[in-house]
Amino acid sequence: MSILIEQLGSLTIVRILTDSVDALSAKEIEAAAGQLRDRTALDFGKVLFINSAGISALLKLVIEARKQGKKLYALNVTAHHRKVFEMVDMLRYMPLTTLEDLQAAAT
Amino acid sequence: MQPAPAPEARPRTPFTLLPPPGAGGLLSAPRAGRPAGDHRKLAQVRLGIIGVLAVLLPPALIGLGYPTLALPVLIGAGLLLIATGIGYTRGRRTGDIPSAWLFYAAADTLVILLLGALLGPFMDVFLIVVVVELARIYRHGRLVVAGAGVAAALILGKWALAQALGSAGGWGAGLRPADQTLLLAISTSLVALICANSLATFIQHYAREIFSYERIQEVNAAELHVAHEIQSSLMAPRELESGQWSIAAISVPAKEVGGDFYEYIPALGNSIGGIAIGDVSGKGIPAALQMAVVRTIFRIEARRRIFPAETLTRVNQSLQTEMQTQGMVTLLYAFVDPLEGVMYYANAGHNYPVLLNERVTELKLAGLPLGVDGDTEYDERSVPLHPGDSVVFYTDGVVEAFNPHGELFGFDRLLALLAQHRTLAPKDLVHEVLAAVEAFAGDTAQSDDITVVVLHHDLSVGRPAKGSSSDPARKRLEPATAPAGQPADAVWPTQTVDSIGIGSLRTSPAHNATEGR
Repeated sequence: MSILIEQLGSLTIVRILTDSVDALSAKEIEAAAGQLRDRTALDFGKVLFINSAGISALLKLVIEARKQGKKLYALNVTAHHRKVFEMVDMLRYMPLTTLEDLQAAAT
Repeated sequence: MQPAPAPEARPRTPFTLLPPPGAGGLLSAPRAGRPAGDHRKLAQVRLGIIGVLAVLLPPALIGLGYPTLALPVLIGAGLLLIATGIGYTRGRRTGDIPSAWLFYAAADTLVILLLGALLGPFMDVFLIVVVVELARIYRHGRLVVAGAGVAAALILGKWALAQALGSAGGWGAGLRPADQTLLLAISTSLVALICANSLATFIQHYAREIFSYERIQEVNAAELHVAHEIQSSLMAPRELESGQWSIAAISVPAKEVGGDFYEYIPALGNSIGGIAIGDVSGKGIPAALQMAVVRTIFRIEARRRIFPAETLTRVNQSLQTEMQTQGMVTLLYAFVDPLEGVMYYANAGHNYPVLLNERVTELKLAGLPLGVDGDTEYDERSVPLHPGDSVVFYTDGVVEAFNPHGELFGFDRLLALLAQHRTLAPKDLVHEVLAAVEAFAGDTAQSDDITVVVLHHDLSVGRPAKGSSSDPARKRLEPATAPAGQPADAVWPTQTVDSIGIGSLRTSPAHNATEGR
């Protein structure tokens, strides 16, 4: 299992436990989409590499989530992947934030 | 540190002591797929051998003074003949030849067991033979070796015991010493024959598998080489010059074929017009196939219209209907107005192009990759390109190259490199980037396709083209320069887009920003 789902009040945190997000691990993340609540944060803290198949799967996930009216956020993204996310327009659908900001917004 | 992705392991032939499915042996099934004609011939040979043994052996045994052995041999031969008949009939009826030969093997095994029972004192030896043969049939290679070893040890032990104790040893009681010796010799020979056959089958199987694996590898390599040649020939020329504009490009797939591509769309009477660079997610043959589809759709759409944003939007819509994209495609399309010196561009999730003049500027324009959402509409921006300016387009294989320490080449390293070499000619700059990535990666396997395209607005006005027309790598933007064997419009459409009118481009409402100086 490469993901761990935690509930923090009304916020769902999907922690990605693998250091590489590829098509396989992205599928697991995609499979977890059914458990996403209205506000979900994907924690990329352990992720060091995301290949194009991983980006593709993530994009489809975040766009689908957005179409369902859910809000997705990205946590702990490296500078390199921040730029990649920006180029593929992922940040429009899944803005970067911090856990503290999310918790503060919830209270 | 970021771990470098491990180079993909070369597929290996598993070397376990397992027999091939349906591998042929003295007592077992032949290879799957053996034609029915072979089945008939093998059955005939089998019948012939058994018939000869059944006819010759009993009289010979009786003649030699061993009448008690003749009956078991006759019974065994009769059972084998019946089994062969049934197996052959089944094989012809069902067409499942390996299954028929497995039936032979089972019958052979039963006959051996029966003979062992009839021969009494040698039952244990034959049981081991049965174990060996069954193990081989049911593909437990290690049991075969173990069974053969135990059988050999038992036979040798019995022989030694017989030598030491003679007929008073208690085993084989009731038989004459000469009969004991003969039976021992027969059983030993039979065990040795079967064990040798089993081992020979394994050796043959693995030798055949290794040879066929190498042959398959050779065929695959040859086919991939052809695919590489085809893909290379379909790529746009690596160098182009047109008046004040020049382009150099290079694409290095991580495998023989890749998912990166670049393309030029001519304009204004075959002058430099559109430049596209794309990257299909994944690599190898799947990516190459998808790339071919994307590239074809792009070329069709780019010929129909001039605006990059509109082109990308249409390509994305076509991709949604024309193919079920499993991944995504990043594509950046820039269109140069060579008269005004302006480049218009739209981006579907591709790496930002980099403008080189006195500064190094990333032309930031985000967009969803193609194949992700069919409803996407792309933005468009423009940037003036003054004489001396260059624009570098690249794919993610550049910035995501790893070194042996697992570090990424990264955007910062690339921008610093471009700043250092921003005055180089396009061809030299392309090679400088590639050399830097190669030096950085060292022995680390290339993990992704790498493509770099450099567009340059020459300082000199109307200077003669660099290089000679005899340089095969250098192509001029003329219809006659299509690669050999291809019609001119396969690379440069004879119906150029100048009739659309560059002037209208500047009034397009799609242009929402201007970057650069």
